[in-house]
Amino acid sequence: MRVLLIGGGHSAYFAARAIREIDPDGHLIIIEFTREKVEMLSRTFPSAEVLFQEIDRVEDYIKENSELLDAVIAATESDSLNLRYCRVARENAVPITVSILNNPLNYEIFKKEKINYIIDPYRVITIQLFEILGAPVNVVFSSLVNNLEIASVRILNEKLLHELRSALDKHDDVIAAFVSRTGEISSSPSSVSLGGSAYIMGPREKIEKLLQLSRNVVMR
Amino acid sequence: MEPETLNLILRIISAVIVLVITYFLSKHARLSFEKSLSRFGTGFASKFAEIARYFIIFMGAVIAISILSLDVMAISIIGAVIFILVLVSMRDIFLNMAAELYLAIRRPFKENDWIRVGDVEGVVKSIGGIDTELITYDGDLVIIPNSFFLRHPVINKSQSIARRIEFKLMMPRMDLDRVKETVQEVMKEIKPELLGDPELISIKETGDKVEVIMSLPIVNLRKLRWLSAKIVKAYHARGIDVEIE
Repeated sequence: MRVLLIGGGHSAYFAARAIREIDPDGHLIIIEFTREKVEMLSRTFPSAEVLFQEIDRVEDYIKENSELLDAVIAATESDSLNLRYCRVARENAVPITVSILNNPLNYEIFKKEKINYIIDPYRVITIQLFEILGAPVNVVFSSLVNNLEIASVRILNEKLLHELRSALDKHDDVIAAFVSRTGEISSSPSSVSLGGSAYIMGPREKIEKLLQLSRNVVMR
Repeated sequence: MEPETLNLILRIISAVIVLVITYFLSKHARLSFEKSLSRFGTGFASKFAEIARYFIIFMGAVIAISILSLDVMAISIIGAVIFILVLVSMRDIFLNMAAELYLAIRRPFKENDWIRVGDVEGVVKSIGGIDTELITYDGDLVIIPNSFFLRHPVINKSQSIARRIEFKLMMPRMDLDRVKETVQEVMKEIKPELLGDPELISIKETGDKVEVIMSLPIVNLRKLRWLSAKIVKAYHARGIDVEIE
């Protein structure tokens, strides 16, 4: 796959590593704006084509190569630049446009611009803190490519356990694994005691409904 | 000429002048609205401008009729005729509006999806209030009125990132082991442009030629032509002339 990765900072480094792992034989092109980073990236990713380019010339590069590019990943340290590059990629029908956010508050702006995939690296802070501190509900994973969502729910009372069981019985496409207070993992709701957690997985709207149900039970 | 007849002629001339002025005024208003509202999106601007134009025409028609001072029956008939004419002339707009509603509620595709509708296939560049823009394999921009989606089935091919495209190669008859070897080499050469491994589907002899079918997982279908040229070039470098069907 021919991927254009723009940027030479931390986000770009991890993106390049991930691309290399997924598609080791793929054609990876990295564009950077400083010569020092271009040299460093060439050494770190010897099989990639690392280009030095002026900030304002990148859009032309995307336009000229849009027929061959499979994906454009904007991972510079500026969200406004990322937005510019993704917008050009989208307008020129590059099939996959990805932006890695620097400021999660800009998420809605990217969404409004209909960028394919918006990666918020800071989202993991909330998820992990919720997990560590035992939040009543936590959306652990929400797929960017399909409708799948995984969430954890702490079973704080019998009513919640009962509601969860009946919801799981009702929906064939929602599955769950239960973790007891002592850490045992089971797929059977009957083996779960209060204080444990349920990790539920299924279509986003159904998971959201279950989470709302859990929130309501906890609030009561 | 009798004063009544003269009066009627004058009224008719006045009504015609009002209609002519209304026509030019509505045209000018449409252009002005389109220009001034374009910052809210071209789709919205042209739709609003069109509605404003018909409103001005309607008002002009009402004034012209009042100048003619016709009786209630005649006014009713003219009103009905105008109403029907407006309905007929705005048929496409109503259809496009219905289609916009359909696209908004049913969401058969979104921007960047690869779709096929009628004879057109391409990536959805933008979905507007009146039309949808597609970019085809060849990079051509095709503008499709939204009403077209009400009449033709839409095939959304964007369920997976890569699509497997089968290539049929015809080459001069030669040892099948050699064919297999070159196919593997060429597939290795083009692999960096694909997402996943290319597959050799079949090799068979047909007359004085060898037919090779391979399946390539391609993300950007617009690179098909370039990829075909690359395959031909790769074979050419090995001294084999191939044709791609």
